[in-house]
Amino acid sequence: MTSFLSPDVLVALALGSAYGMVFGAVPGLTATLALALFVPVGLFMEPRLLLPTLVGITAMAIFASDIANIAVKIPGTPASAAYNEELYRISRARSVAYAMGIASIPSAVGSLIGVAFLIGGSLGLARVAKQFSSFEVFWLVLLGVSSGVLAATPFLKSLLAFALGMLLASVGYDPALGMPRFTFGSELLLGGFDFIVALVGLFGIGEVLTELTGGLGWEGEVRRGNGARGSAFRDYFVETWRLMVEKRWLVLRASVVGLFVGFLPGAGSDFAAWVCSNMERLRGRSDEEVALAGTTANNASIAGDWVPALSLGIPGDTLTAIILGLFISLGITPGPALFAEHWDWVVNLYGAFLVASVVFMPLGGYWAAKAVSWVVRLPKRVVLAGVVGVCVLGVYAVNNNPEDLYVAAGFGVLGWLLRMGGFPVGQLVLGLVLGPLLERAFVVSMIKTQWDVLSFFRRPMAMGLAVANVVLVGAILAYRWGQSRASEGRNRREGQVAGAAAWEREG
Amino acid sequence: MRGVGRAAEVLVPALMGVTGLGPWVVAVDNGGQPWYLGPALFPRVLGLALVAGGVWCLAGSRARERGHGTGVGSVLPALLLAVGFVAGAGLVGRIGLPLTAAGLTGLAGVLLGLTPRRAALVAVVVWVLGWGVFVRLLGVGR
Repeated sequence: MTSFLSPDVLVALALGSAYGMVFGAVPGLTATLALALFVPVGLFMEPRLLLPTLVGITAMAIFASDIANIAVKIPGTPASAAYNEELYRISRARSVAYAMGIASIPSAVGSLIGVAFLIGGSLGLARVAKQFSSFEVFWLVLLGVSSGVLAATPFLKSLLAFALGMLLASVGYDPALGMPRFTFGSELLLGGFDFIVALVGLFGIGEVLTELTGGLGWEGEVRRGNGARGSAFRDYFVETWRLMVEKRWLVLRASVVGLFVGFLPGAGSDFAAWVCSNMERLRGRSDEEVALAGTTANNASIAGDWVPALSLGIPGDTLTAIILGLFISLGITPGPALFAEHWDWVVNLYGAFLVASVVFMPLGGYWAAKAVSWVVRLPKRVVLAGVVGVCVLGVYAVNNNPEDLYVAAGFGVLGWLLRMGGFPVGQLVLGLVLGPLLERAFVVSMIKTQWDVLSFFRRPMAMGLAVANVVLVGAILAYRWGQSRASEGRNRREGQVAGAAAWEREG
Repeated sequence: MRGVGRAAEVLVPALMGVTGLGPWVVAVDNGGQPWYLGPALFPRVLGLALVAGGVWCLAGSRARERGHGTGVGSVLPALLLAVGFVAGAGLVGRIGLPLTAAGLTGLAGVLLGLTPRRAALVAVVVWVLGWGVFVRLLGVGR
């Protein structure tokens, strides 16, 4: 039995981590692309080295998607779009090192808590997840949608942006029956709009177009890099830890929610990050808390994804689907047999997750903070021109398809118009991410029960989630009504005071 | 800027409303089922929401005080860059990915107000990144 601390395993983990981090940090390059390109190499590796390499690639690529978020405000994944604005604002208000600390250290802690659950109860937790059918998934996704739409302001514009995102997500094969919709005979549209291409268009190109119209005021913007070595270290490690200790229950809650969402097939890290950050946004919490919840849940769900993959052989998302494919090619059968016959490989995998979370993520984030700090010192117009080039390269790299540039340009113009009109762009992404999940869960449930709507309330767990939805929507509406009443009262009082002062002056 | 923002406040809800009509106008193969029992259901409900919300937003923006200001002319560079992206899709096959990316970078640099020399320098950096990392190392665009 080989220890996960043996030099060759650590080297494999380090190389996988570095490779994953590069892919995560460049907009357009994704964890999925990193894994897909790695498969031919992985086929020739020994399993004891392959497993830690795969862990390094997946864990670091997901965490590193926040690097571009902080540097140039382009989220690398739909998950990091969930707290894109907040993380960027933190980098402007405090420092790049502090924002990078919030992106990486909670990710590491979330991942670590996820691993603890992975070790403690893979099989038991996977059995709970198996209880979830399309009815429960529908209510759960609706919970994410309600919290997301109602959390944003202004409400009507947020709802419209979400509906538009969901409508755009309906282009291509429908998620339940596989009928093509709104493709107009184009092969390009059959698969729908690629998330990453849409994200690069909305946030990358859209941002540059907005700047060209004078919308962002980047020219007047000053961002603190890392400053002196001591201050970078303090902001990155000490201040982030202080925040995490202060918000320890938030970190734990986001980890558990992220982990559980990771179990659910088809949900993954995007859904986890959106739900957790929206919950904090909804409660009017600070930028730090919103970003903390999102980054923690994002990485906790990675460990969660591995639970059904390892214990039941069911992939939670595209990444674990590729990994399972690689396992099967190498003759490794996931499921209970893996635990019984190759316990040493499983231990290696858990160990690799631990080392990646404790060592590579914090260190990688610290180095990334230094690199980003250098980028933000460049003149803003130079950075924005560079962003255009990276967007072209990244968009093309997603599918090796030049026609994706049309899609990116379209989404860029859309993002620009939405910003100019005061519509929240994040809600459009929420619609793109959660729309197909919601539709699939609804239509599949309806087909199963021959359009019996009451079937959504027959299963105990579905009923519980339906009640949770009603309570959440009621609580949000009551909270927002209370807020608007308080604001009206404040305005009225200020008006009375101003009126009295004017009357006294005139008198 | 205010002029552009004002125009967008009217244009975006109007566009949303028109987009919302799409699912009601464009036919979707529903597998012989009525629309409310198949793939056309969600798009049509969303379309209705977009039309209703778009009209509501438009009514709201008409009622508000009209903003004045200049800035509509600044839309031109943004449109030029968007057209550049569309043209870029055709250029990739002819001149390759790195040169297309570099060309668009240069165009963006000039539109953003960089001096031609600086814009060219940024374009060269993007070309090196595209050729070295994307084409040679990752095999993208070969």
